[in-house]
Amino acid sequence: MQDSDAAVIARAQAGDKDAFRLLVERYSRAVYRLAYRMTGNQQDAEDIVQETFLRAYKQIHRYESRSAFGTWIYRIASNCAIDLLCFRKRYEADREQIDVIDFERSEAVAAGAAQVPAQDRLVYAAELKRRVAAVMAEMSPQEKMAFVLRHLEGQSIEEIGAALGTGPSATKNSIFRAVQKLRKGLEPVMSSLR
Amino acid sequence: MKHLTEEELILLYYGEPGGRPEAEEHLDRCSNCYERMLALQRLLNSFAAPEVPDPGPDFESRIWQRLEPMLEEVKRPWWRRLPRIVWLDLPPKRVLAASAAAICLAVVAFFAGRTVPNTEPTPQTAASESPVVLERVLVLAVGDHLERSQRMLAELVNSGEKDLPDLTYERARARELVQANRLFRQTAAREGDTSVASVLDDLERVLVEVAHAPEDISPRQLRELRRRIERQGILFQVRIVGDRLRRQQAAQHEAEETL
Repeated sequence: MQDSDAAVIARAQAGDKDAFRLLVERYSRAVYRLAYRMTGNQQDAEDIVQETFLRAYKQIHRYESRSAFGTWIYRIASNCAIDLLCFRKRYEADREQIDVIDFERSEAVAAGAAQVPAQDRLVYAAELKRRVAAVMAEMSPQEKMAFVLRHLEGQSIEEIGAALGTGPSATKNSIFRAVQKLRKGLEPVMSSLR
Repeated sequence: MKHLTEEELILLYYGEPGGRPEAEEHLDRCSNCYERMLALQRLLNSFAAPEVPDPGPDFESRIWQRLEPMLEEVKRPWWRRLPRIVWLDLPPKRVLAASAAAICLAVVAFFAGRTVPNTEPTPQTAASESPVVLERVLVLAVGDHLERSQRMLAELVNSGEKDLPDLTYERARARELVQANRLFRQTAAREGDTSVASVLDDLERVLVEVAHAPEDISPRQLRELRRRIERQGILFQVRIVGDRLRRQQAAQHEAEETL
């Protein structure tokens, strides 16, 4: 039978490395998924997973079972992802902007494409993609993280606040700002189709 | 009732509490707010989550393999993380003989260097003639430098609260690393690798701080120093750039082998 998280965490806190390995095995895919959605890059996502568990290992004695281990590890992963995005923003501004939105499955592309002549569809999709990339680059890492957690991961404001270490109103403000930036950036393209 | 704000519309879209209780009712009655809600829905519905690529069945073990050596470093007390002085294991006579041999070798090398005419181009000239060689050397050397800096800073950050380290050793290492760092930073900037140059710039500030830390550092000062290192996220940045350089090095190696 599989040990409960609580039992495994207690062993890891006592210095049992095998127990910590079990936690890595249980949670690394969830962390990877979040990291990928934040970065859109597999290598960056794996770097975030590694850094997350390294930080978790150092702080495992501070973990208290008041919150779920998943929430705690998500919080560390969010910080790592934000650190990485800050790093990219600061040092690698010229790096090609990555996609965190799936354009193949985007309703806007589908709906918009249906309204434009076939020869203009590629131009429309490219323009939308360019604008989304520009808006995403304009968002602060916190705004982007709050938006990804709310919109793509379906987390509640409370859960996002726990992950980002922010209160409900600061969390809401991050989401509001992210949506406002999207609206301002994309409205001209989307309204041109109406 | 006043029109709904954009914030209230966003909360309604996500089904989050926090708006006015009568907001939903208002939406049914007010065509202006209803239109704005439709526009917001169109905008937000257009964002679909990208498919996350499967990292493979060996993902967990791959992560563990990368992680395990780092955990070992965290666990070991600081004095065990110091490089082992192998000479201490040797009998004193052998230590003396080895020291004498090393000194003789150094003296011979010094005089040979002064008397034999140097017909070879200087490394700088050679490097400037071959950007490929320079890039390869830079990747290798900077990668090694980052690894050494990372190890030193990780030891400092991870040393236990109780076993307060004597910083003599760290300070000396940091001084050496600052010298090397300065050279690499200037070279990277000259070669146009701005991301490496910027990380080295940040790293240099941290290294200078360690190099100038008081020898008899108090627990409080040490805690502050660690906090500053952690807050700047320099270790993570160094790891990211170090990984990038390692991948670059592996790609260069692979390209050479295929030729």
